[in-house]
Amino acid sequence: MDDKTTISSIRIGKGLAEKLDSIAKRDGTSRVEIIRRALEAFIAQQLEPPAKSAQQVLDLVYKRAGRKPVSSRETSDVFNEGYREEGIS
Amino acid sequence: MRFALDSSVLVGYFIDSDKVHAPAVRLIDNILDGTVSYACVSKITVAETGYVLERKTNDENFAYTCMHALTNDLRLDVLDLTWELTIILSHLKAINPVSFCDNATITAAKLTNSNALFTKEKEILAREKGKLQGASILFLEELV
Repeated sequence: MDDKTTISSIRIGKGLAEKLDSIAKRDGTSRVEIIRRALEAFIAQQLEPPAKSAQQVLDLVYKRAGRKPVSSRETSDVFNEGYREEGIS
Repeated sequence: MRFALDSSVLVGYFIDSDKVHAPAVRLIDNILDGTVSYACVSKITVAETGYVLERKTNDENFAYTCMHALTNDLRLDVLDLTWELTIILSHLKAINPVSFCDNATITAAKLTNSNALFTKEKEILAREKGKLQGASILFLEELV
């Protein structure tokens, strides 16, 4: 350990550890690296200044999602499908 | 004005090709700048918004990202499923001929002394408006 790093130990559940290992294996890296990346992403998100307009929030959403969505159906069609599934028409 | 927002309003906001996108953006701007004094959603509405967005876009990650934003970035009061909300929702679903999630919006409005705000994309709700009990029903398309 050099003077630019510190050790921070955490206890995590077995289920979470298995998920971390699965992601690490898929990405060809270690559980520690996945935790490090997750912490950095979380902290960056927490430090984002609060959005002041509706468009700023939308821009954040598109940035976080990685793309602007393409809508394939009318909203009313989706709601009517939901009503039919509940037996309401 | 005080509003309990329905998923139809929120879906319109997140999808920029939606018919009600422009008025939904204006409403969210008014919430963020304080012109609207209070706005809330129930967590049931958060879930409904997510499923509708996922079906519209076939993108689970986008739906999740929108659900996260509406609970964290839009300065909405997000109502938990408390016992009080549970029993009011149960009764309203028994007497109102609309969906469980529509009744969740009306319940949120009743609990917070707000207006339940929908869009006319929910055609059944628009048709049944006169029969609905629990809170005042307003439509985004009719807000000045």
